[in-house]
Amino acid sequence: MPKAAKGSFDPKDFLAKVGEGKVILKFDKNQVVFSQGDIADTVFYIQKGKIKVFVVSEQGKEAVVGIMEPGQFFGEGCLNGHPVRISTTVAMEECLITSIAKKAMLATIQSEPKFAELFMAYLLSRNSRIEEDLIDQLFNSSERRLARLLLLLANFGKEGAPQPIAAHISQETLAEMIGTTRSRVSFFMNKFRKLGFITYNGTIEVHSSLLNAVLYDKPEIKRDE
Amino acid sequence: MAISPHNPPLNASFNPKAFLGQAGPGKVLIKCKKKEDIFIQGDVAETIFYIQKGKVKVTVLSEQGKEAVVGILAQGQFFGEGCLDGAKLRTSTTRAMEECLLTSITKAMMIATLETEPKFSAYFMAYLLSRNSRIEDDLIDQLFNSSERRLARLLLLLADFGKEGGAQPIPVTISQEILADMIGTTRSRVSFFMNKFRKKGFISYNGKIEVHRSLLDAVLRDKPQIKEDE
Repeated sequence: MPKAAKGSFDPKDFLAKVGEGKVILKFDKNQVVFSQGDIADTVFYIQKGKIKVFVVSEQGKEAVVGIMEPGQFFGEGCLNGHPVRISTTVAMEECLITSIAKKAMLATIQSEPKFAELFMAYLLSRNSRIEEDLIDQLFNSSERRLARLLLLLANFGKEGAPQPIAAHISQETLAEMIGTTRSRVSFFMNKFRKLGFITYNGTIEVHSSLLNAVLYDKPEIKRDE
Repeated sequence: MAISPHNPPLNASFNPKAFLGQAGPGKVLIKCKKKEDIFIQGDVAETIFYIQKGKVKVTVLSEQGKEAVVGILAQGQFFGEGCLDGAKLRTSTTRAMEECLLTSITKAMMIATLETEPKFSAYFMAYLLSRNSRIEDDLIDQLFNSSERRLARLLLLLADFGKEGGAQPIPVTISQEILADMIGTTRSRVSFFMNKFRKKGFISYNGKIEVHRSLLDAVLRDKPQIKEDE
């Protein structure tokens, strides 16, 4: 179904450029993009770099809800009527981000079907990922959750060769992503290393033997707590 | 009014709810009886469902046969939309919790309508955004809270606390098994907490569970009766 009038609109191009309601921002490593409780009136799109999304409980406990990558959005909760941010987002490395005002975002979704399609594809994939994370929490032991997280971070299951996990993802962050303590993570990482599933010095290299252990449910990694 | 998605007239009068409420090309209305399966984990995924009436339970089965409830969806919500994200097979099982009226929409018709009807695409996007927030909240709840607090939060959500209008909370008619599967704990733990909540006057039950406002207070003000951490 060609639509001649809109044929030339390129969503990626639109997201990469400054324009009405759109600003390009640079963030240094560890710089906060927004904090839990801030007013929510912009949506962000990652051009380059990684963003950590986390929530702090009233007791000061942190939980990492996601690590967002180039091509992903964050802060889209404001489109769902959230007046304030429910999470804090921080740059894990140098980031290039497009900030889009809520109004401009809504207008573009409405006027540009290709943009709406891109954003919807993002929402659907994000939806599946959070649902999988939730199922992981409901089913699996913290050891299995850590194994799954390492495989995801090392790009297993995506095309191309697995990649080492960069040093900036600390054991604290890993612990906050699977809802356990740093000492438990440290214990399991050691165990995985001794079993030859991973190696690390600075970066973490994840071997396909870890995938086998998780998939074939080897007794080395127990399923239930 | 003929809806012709292949010939978009920038239809200002397009009504997403009316579209979803009627059978048509690529759309079928389906009635399900209580406890009837709509689709099963592993089935081929090529349709999206919209709930006109009733409630649908979404569950996932682990290889070990453990069941987790990912959500209970009600009127106005979609399910099975994973096929739009490239899922070839269903990753969950869906079952009618009561008599349901559903609209089943083929993937092709769904994609075509999203493309040609901005109002439909806005409607569906609003659903996805709210569903995302809810799953994210559920995940945060799992990461932070004890099973006791998770049960308290779930009961409040099921009783419709927190919805606008200050309407009367609705009685909850869900078994303790399902409650346990939804918060990732055992039925005996749920039974223990339910008893505790009842003794404290947070809930009352005979057949249905009536959730009282005092439970909301206990959760919000973080009373020591409901502990935060395990």
